Amino acid sequence: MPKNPSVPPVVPMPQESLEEKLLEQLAAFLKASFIYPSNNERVYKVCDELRRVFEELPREREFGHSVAIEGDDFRVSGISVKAATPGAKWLHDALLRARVGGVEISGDVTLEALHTFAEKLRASFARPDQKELNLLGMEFPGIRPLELRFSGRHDQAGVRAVARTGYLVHPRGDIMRVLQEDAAILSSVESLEEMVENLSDHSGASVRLDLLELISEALPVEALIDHRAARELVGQILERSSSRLEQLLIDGVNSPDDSLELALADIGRRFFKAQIDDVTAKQQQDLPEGRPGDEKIHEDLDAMLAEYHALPDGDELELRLEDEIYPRETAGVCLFQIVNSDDEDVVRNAMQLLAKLIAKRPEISDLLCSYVEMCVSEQGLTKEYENYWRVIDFIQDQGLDTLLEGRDFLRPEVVATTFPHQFVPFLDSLNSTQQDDLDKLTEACRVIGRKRLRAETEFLVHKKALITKSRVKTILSVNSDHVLPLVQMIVEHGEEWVRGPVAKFIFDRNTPTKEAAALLAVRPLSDLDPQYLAALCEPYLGRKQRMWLWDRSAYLLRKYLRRTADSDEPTKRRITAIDMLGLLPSLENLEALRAVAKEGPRLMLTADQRMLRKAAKDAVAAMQRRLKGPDHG
Amino acid sequence: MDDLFFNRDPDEPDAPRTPEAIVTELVDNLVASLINARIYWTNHPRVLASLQTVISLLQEACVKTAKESVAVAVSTDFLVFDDRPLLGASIAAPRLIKALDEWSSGGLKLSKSATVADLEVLLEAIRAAPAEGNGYEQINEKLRRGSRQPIELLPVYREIEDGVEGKPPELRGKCVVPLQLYQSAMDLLQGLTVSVSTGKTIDFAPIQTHAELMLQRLESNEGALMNLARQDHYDAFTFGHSVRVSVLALNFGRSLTKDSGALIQLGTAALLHDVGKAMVPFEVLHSNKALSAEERAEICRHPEYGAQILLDHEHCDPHAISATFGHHCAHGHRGYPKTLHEHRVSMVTDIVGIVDVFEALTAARPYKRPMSPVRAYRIMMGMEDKFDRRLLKRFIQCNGIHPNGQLIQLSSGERARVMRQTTDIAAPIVKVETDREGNFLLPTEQWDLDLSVQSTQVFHVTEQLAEDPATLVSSA
Repeated sequence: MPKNPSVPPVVPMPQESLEEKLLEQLAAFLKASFIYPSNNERVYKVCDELRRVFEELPREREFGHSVAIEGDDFRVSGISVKAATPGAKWLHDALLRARVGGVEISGDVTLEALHTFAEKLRASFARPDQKELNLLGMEFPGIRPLELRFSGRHDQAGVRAVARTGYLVHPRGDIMRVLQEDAAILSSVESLEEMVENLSDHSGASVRLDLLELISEALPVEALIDHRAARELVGQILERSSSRLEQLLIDGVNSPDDSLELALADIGRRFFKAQIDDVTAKQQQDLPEGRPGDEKIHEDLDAMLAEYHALPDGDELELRLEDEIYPRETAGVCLFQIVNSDDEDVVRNAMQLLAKLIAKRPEISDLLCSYVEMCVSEQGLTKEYENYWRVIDFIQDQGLDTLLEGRDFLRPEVVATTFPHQFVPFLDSLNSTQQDDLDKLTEACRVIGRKRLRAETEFLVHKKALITKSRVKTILSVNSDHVLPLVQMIVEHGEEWVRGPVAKFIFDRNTPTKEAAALLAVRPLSDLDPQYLAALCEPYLGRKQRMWLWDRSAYLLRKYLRRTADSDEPTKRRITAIDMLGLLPSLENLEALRAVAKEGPRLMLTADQRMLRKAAKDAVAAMQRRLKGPDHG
Repeated sequence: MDDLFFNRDPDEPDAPRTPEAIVTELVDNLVASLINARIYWTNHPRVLASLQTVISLLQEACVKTAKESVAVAVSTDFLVFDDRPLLGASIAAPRLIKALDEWSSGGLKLSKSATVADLEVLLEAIRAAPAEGNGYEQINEKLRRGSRQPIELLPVYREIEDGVEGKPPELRGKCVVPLQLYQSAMDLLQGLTVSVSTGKTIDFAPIQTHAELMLQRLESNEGALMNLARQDHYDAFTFGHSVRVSVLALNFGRSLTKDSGALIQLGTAALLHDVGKAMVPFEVLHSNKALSAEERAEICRHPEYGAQILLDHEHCDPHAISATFGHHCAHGHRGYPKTLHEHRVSMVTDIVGIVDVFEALTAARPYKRPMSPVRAYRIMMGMEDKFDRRLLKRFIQCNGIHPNGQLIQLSSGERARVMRQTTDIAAPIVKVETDREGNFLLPTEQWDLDLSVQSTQVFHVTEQLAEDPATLVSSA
């Protein structure tokens, strides 16, 4: 179709953000698949978003896209990406737990295959060493798990050793020759490490270790016995070879020799931090918090007895598991984990435990209020602050909204001036059936102003803070244009279920707006009630105000209608689509309608088939009347 | 922030390291390698670092003994070095002992020339179960280097060529110590670390079972279990600490309730309280050097990690979760983790916190002597707002200055063993075991003495005696 010159060109998103997005979406999909079955709306949605990102990313190779662990970070379709976001970090951990180095995913992978892979990934957490749950030995159509290999890092936390999956760009063969030619003289550990640091500025920490590994491989076996001498030897080699090695790194030659890599890693590690420390070991793992000056407290029995007798008596103390403090203590631990943990299972279990505790001891709920107050008093948008939304959601889910009533921070003018921090608890405090409350929301939105609402609402919407049923309901209960920017953002970023209520909102207001266009533009339309669908199309069809809709949305609308008309959708929906197509004159639509008009057997038609054919024929006739000549559209 | 360092007491001179201490540390590091090899591949840096330490200690031991090799034999659940049982090493190394037993081997001999590569081969070999008909000779074959045998698995003890058709060294057990209970608890906690590190699900049932067994042992023979907790050269790593904390917590808990269900939950919480350390980098947790601020901050996160690990399991006991999280929290909103609200701790958490500190102060480590209870109590009483002061007093009252099972010297010349505490924390009830000349009395001749009702001019404790671990050993 011809481009409309008045429509600004779509600016592609920067490459880095697409790779990061892929990691986030893959993590979101896996997490959703851990919880929901494959036919769940949530799984569909994240799968759609994942596919969208796939389509936007340039293909690395014919197969599709790859996500591979590289140290603490990732390599996504050939591009290094830091695992900086919570989703990416979760994905990194999940792959490591499953002993998988990454995945290659083809562009035509199905939802079912992805979901099956996710299920197996989850199952492999429990028993990583059992053969039947070794993902590498399994087949998934369109998905290829990549091998995980530990090459070792001394400064990695926990079990997150560096793993490489063959993406290292590194001239092993050439370096080996250089090193073997430049055998040894002495140097110190410090200068060794410094040289390695200097060498590898542009190559990253994993290559630093690789270099040492390579060098160590070149050493004679006897040198390994005396590791001090060997360490010094390594330093000399580096010193003499540095410029040549650097050049090789810059050249960046791939080497496919995996066995060499493993052997190098094997020996190199022995020297990277192998230090004999003549100082006696100091272990801090179970030390008390000794205060400065404790060393001056000597063994003095009389003093000790005097201090002991000065302590208050505790004869009445008795150990009872269900004492007064225990529920509150455990609630505090749960809240801490809800706000600070990135692990969904931990958060879920903590919420369940917290709910049980509150059910037993309702007075604990004041602890939640103090967390919410701390949340809204925060000025910085820290990670913990973002996670406080979980507490607010929890309050909502538990039906504890009354906790938020009457709080000082919930006055509209205060909400407006501190937007977006207090907006969500403010919403939670409102009753959508009370006009006074809706007026408060209108007033808050008015004061905030359209521009600011839009800009900072991005944050709220991005963090899904606004997209809960009760909050969306409250917003949509307001009969004012002041909330339209919120509505548009909700549609653009919300989940599938918001579309129905938003469509009704637009329908009830009887005002076609860009929000309607947004609704059409960004999602498949199969979930919309036909009457809303028709209402959304009406501005485009009836008022001929095409400036309300972008060409893209019009294009999508027509495409959707054609697809629906010629599909296995319910008859009623198909007939609606056929009727709409009849109002959109174009050759393509005409052909689509004619195809439906001939659908089915020549004889013995069912009632539905007859209805469809009649609708299609009527639509063809309506279109031909509109056209009054050659196609346009 | 509270200083995590506890420096060596400047008044206490460095104790010279005995060959026994060096070999115990060597075994500890070998065990650490075995545990790490269950988490990582055998050639992983952490495994290799532990093995490198084994080699260093091996060389140190050879220098100390002026020999070309170190041999550690196995005899009925004990590791034996130079004909002396290594109590501490035996407790820390049940899995090594079991592996040697499976390969029908009576011990291990490491030559001065052994290398890390040789140890790697050993680790890989003993981790596997032997095929039928195969014995330790098969492993020796893999370890042979031409004409050299840097590491050798030995035949069973009784076949050692010492000219004596053998039996293990005579064990002069005066006190039955629950070695196997300690060993299995250590094995359990080592396995827990592996599970946490590899993301496996924790099975809480065996942990509770061990708490129950410890409680039963305390009720039948408190002194034996408590005594084992005070042994020197006892496990350089964190597992033994958790076992001892659990024993101390149970012992204290018994003075606060008769409810065995509550006590078992307390014991379980104590066993689990440091589970979060499995998520702290190994090199940080067992560093030889001064910790940086970041490393110390990482260690301070272990309670938070521990609570996360336990909360990841839907049916974990909430008391264990709370105790794991809060055992370093102090009253008055101090301690760590830092919470936004004032985090109050329940009695279970407080108990674990108290015994955790007491154990850390009074336990022996390779780098420090054990501190006396008197000094430990003084330090703990000086920690303002750290503990519930009444509970601390009850703890001191329960534990006493001379803890149950402790061997003491009386002013009258006899040696006695503490049996029970009295209201006078410096004057417990003791069982006199020797006469004034130091000759051991027969069990029927031994007698009880309540020091609290005696004139202190006649009978009082002059000294706590360190016991030769060899005198305690008897499997039970």
